[in-house]
Amino acid sequence: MDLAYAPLARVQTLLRRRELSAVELTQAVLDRILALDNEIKAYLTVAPEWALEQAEEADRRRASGNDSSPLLGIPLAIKDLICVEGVPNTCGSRMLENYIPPFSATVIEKLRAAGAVILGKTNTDEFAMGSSTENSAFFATRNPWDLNRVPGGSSGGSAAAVAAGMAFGALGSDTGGSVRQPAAMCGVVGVKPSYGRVSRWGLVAFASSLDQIGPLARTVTDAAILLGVIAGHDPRDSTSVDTPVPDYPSFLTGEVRGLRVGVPQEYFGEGIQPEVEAAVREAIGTLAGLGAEIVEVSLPHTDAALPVYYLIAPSEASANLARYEGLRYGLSLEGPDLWQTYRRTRGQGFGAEVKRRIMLGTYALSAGYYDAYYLKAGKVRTLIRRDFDQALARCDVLVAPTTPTTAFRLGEKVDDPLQMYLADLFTLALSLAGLCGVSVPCGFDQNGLPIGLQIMGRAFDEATVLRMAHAYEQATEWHLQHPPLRANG
Amino acid sequence: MPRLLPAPIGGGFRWSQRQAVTCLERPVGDLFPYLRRDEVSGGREVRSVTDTASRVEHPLSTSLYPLLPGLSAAWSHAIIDDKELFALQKNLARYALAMKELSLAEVEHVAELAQLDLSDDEKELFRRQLSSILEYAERLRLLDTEAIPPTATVLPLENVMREDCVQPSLPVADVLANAPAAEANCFRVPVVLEGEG
Repeated sequence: MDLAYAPLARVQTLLRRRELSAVELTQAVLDRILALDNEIKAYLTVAPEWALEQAEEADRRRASGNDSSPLLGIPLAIKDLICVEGVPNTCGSRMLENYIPPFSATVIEKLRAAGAVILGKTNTDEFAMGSSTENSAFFATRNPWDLNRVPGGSSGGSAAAVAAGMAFGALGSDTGGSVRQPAAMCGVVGVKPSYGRVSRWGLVAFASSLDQIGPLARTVTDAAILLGVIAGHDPRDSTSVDTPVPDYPSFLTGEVRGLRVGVPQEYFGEGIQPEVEAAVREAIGTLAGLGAEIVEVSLPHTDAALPVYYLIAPSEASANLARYEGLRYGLSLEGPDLWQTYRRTRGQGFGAEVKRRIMLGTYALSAGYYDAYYLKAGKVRTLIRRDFDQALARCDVLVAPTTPTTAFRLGEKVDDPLQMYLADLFTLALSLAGLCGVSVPCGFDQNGLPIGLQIMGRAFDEATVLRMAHAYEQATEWHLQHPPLRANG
Repeated sequence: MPRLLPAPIGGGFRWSQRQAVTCLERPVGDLFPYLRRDEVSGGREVRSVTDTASRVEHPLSTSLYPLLPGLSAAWSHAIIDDKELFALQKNLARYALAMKELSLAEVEHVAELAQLDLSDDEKELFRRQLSSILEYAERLRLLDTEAIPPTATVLPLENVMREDCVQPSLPVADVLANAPAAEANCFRVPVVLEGEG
């Protein structure tokens, strides 16, 4: 299928002109998944029959003249942390291996109402805890650009599926970088919306003050279309904010003249792969060439983001994951009494990283340590937010690398949690501040592995961030390159 | 201002009492004049620190590493004045308190709080890994946050009100469909109170 990497707008035009039906399109993507996914392993569950039913429905809807939705008949992939009624939702965990949600997340209801076709559920680090998708209890996903490398994580399945043309877009979730980081490592666009922009109802909770659902796509325009559909206030999520959702695609004018782009010095230098720094510096030059004004800024507490994140996120996780007790849903290993049922179920059902974070969070919240760890981290989080407030008072967006390095090898960091955590170094601070950001492809290293440019913006100002990303994308050709897969023909 | 001198090469760090470290990127040749100037002004050279509790002497490079963000094992000694020496001692005292590695008993206590069965191997693995992650987190202690309010959520907190009316909910059978055991429209659970059942 030569449409595998086509942008949404082109596919939509073909569908509207009846040169292609949603059923034909969906069948072609399913065929591609069949041909490629044995190697890449992006999907945990594919629902071919249901996908074709949804496609038939989309074709009927179009035939009835109701075809204004930009997603009508478009096949998408969903991270296996977002509930879809009737489709297994494992969260990459043995704990939920057989869990079938009786309801759909708000974002899924919105996608379905827009006529999108849901293909299946993509692999993730267990309960989204990881940076490589290797923490999935089922299997590791491989990076389509090099099958010996990780796709990043935790939304690695979604990023790999989009990069390999096994979906026209996908949803992931970003707690500390889990959309932006795999997007960068797989050479696709990933959006982390502002905290409160997208409803979390039906997203299995990891760290509730940080979690946000975000789209992954092959172009900024496609990502903007997806974000426009899933964003908005939801009374079922008390942290979703009641503020208008702009028409994102209309902001993608290519015009960035006069916008101020801040370059935070702390995101460059030690620990960063030289090719990543070079590519990002060149991208900054491109933005300057487009008429943006480049300003040096400082985010002095950048160093603190990693320890703050790895105290706050596990603390929240330890509370959220208390619900898995083997009584109402999920794995249940009965012991001689209630307590042993809890302990056995949780001891066997959770993988190593999840247990490690529950332990860390429980310790940080426990009597005698709360002030020194959780409370201290919350205070430093305030300092991190103030850094961004000050920088973004002077600038419209900030730009930096998305990741310190390109995709690493499978198995390279699994035995050293701290090394693995460092893969999120550049994405954590933005999450802690609750702001929005995009990763957009900005080059390749010597091994042909993609590099991501991170564009960060003010809370609820996704429009400006996407506008900058789009202008950069249109001035470059990185997004036109695709992984060297056999099925490309 | 203390001077932390690199061994054998690198930039220079300045370390103020309250705030973290700012990198000053100085060429190597520049460092010796600083050393001499400090000797003249009565600064003292610190090459190692002793943990007063265990009486173990640590070379500065490794013992100070978690205390000073940005410092790596490449640093061997620092020049500091009396005031800074006092601050360093204060930090070290706090650091020594926090730096004790987790014990197996502590790991078992936390596992019990978290309701997790752990194997002996897991206990030892987590003891080591959690110790090193917490050690990394120690660098936060250097930031003065006395007057800083904590952030628990980035959103301004306000009450959300709605009409108190019945909304459609999921059928009971759907809700119980994932339960390991159900009976009479309820989740079936093991005996909770002793002597009943």
